[in-house]
Amino acid sequence: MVRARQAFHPFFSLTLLVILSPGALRTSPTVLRRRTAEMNFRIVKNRCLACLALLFGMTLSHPPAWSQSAPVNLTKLSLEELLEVTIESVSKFEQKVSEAPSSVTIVTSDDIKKYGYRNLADILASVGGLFTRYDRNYHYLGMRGFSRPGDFNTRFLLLVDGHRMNDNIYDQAAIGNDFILDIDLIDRVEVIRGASSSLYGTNAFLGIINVKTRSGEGIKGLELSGEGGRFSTYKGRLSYGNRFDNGLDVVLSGTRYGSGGNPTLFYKEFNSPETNFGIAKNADGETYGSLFGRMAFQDFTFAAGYNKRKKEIPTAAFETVFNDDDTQTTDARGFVEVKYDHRFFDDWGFRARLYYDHFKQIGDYVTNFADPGDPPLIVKSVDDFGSDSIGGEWQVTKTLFGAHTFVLGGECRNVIDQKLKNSDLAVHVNKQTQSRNWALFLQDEFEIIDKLRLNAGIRYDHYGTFGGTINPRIGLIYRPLDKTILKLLYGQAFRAPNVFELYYNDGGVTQKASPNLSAETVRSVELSLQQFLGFNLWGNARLYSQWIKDLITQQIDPADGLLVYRNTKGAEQKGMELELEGRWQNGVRGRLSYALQKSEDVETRKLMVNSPAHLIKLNGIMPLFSDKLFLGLEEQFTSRRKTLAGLQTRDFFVTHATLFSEKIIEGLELSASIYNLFDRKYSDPAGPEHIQNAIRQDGRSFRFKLTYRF
Amino acid sequence: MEDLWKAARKILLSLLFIGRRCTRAASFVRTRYIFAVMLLLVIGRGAVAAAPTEYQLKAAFLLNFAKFIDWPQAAFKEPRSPIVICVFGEDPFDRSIDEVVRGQTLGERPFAVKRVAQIQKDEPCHILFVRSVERERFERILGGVKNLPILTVGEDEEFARASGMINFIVENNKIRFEVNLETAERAGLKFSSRLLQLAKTVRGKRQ
Repeated sequence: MVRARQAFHPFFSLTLLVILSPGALRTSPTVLRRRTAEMNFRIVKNRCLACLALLFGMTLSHPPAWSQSAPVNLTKLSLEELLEVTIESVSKFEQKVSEAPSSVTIVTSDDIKKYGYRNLADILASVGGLFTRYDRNYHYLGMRGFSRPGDFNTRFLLLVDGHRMNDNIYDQAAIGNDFILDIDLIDRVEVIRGASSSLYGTNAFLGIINVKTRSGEGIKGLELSGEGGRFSTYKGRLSYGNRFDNGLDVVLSGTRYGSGGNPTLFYKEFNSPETNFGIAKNADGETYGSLFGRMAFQDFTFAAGYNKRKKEIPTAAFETVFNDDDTQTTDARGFVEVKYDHRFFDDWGFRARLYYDHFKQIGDYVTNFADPGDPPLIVKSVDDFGSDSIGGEWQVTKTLFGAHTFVLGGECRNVIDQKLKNSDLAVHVNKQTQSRNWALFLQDEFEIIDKLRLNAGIRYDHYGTFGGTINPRIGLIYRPLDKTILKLLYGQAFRAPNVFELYYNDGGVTQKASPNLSAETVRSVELSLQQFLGFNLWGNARLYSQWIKDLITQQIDPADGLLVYRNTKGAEQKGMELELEGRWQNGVRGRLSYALQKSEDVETRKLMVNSPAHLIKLNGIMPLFSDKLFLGLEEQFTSRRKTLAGLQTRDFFVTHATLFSEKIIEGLELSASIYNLFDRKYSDPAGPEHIQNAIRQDGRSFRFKLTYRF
Repeated sequence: MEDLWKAARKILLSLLFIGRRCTRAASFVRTRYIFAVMLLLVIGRGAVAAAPTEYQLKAAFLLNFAKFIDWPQAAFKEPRSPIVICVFGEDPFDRSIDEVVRGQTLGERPFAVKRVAQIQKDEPCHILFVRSVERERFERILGGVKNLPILTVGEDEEFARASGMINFIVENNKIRFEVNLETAERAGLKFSSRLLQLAKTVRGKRQ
């Protein structure tokens, strides 16, 4: 019954069903008969329309804030009395009509709790225009229709408190459980769209994910958290945070996570007696442990983090033996950093950071090396990759003539050890064990005429491998009215070839190194309109075009038949993104976004693989019982995507629901979540390392979570 | 680009004309939305209490702070010059702050409200309120008024960290504030001890 209802079971009616009477809005059997693609589309439209109606309905549902006159006595109250006045609970509008030269979406720690997000990929999938792909080992992120299966997750720069977290072997932004932090420690996540190398250098290609951590002052005491969910999943966390009277702010936290994973995964491509009829049994387990600490005193901050995560690979990727849970990857990453932040005189700011980064990946691949027909020759082939690096960055800001704000900065990174080792070959497969890069950048922001602001930046990066690259960015920001902002933005970005693409080879059996690779580049133009609609609604519309050149792509060299990475291929993206966000006095808030996008291969003019044309996200939080019980609902639509084999994955809606409660007992937070509420069957396109065309995602699952603060 | 526009137009049009093209099923779904919206209107009405909004209360606080702070003589041109409350950037009070200060005086001085998009050195502000949405610019804003006799008031943890003088905190639906005495004193502002007693925390305490 539930499944039959799903298509006609829109988001907010559900809310009401939960709040009010479960039987009040029963679905008539005649409408349950069938669903054609056309009807599907109509439902999409209907849902959108309904959401708009609902958002506006909510605006009308109570008098706008500015029309309420202040209660007369308020001005007559003393300061002591004012401290006793209770206000309606209103969360702050985090999303500002920003004058930043890019479009930014912010997800807060409150969202993380109330929507029941489990990892960074969950958080990012809720953001307008973003989509993820999970191959049951790693999560990959796409934006503006671009995310090629087979590429590493390298076209986003992942920052934690400003510290680059992409590793130095694959340059991959780890957004699954291999992300360095437990997401409970996040204060907020900023997703910055567009090419941003002018300030951040490599990997800031499609966008930046900037994660800010909670302060000790925010944690204030001891926090104990435990959660459990489907597939024998558990997580435990212990954190301590405080700010002492002398100004010392401390955070310490540790997390353990374990999951048995989906115990029976079926892949029809392996449906034969030799491969257990396509069923991978108990081969989806995952564990991780992570530690994080930070100490801030006056101008200095010291921070360190470590995460080690192990994941079994159930998909028999890389031609490994099917249904063998010894095939797994272990990723470990860690960092230590010291930051200094000081203001000199009146208007000089100085910021510097020194860091050490560590990354290690062990890949165990159980492979049958026997020729077809021969008795099996099963060998565990072990990859041992890793890097250690040290680096530093500095930045000076200065306000000049009142109107100009200059930023001048530099950066240098020295990878002291980068290794690609394989047990079969028993040697380092890369000869180049060190690398170095440095950069200088300058940015200026000033008001040209009243209400028209110019933000311009340029950055030079130098790499020992391919040489130098210059990337500018220019933004015109016009604020004709108090509640309207128009932006015209142009930016360029690059991605340096990573160590794996440059040097990985297996001694000439199947793959050879390509040390002469150069960087891939992107140029993007964006027109954005941000508008406050009354007091409660905020809208943003964006149109963009972007051109990618010299994409690093794995090919077969016709000369010797070996796999090799080359700068070939270009891609072009065009699209439109619409976002609407609302917050109301009664604690209701929500976000609706729609992205229409087209991503094409420049040569063939064909649509790219794993590129959905439509993305719709809708999420809302509703207080059910004063400020103690909340319902968080989320609906995401992804249209069909082309797969590598030229087939298509189906379009799908997926719904998540979370009940969250706090303050019933002082210090106690409880939540219960159901993910994929209607048990939709959907798949993400597979990569070239898979025999499968697409990888099926999890059906309905749940999680309970309890957090107690002492 | 052209087909993109075409697609966008098609979607907008289809949204507009959806009513005319409804099938029975769709109209059924729509009816339910209308129900949903109506019910929400009811729920929404119920949820609005008579309590003041956050910013009405904050406006009253700003007015009250003035009573407990001594500005240096040079901060005012003449004895009857108004105490100017500047609201930086997008205004969260809308008109509620004008209503709160209307007709209010402190001694001979009336109050005035000004919305500013940028801080000039000679800006005649006495109280400067900065919203948390200006987070990216706290340092710049505060740097611009450093050592000037302007009471800086914010509502964000980072504002306090960036040495704003008074910072609002919302706790259990009540408003609290913290004080940074050090920057205030450097700017030549004197805080009364009553204000300090009522503050949740005071940083840079007097010796």
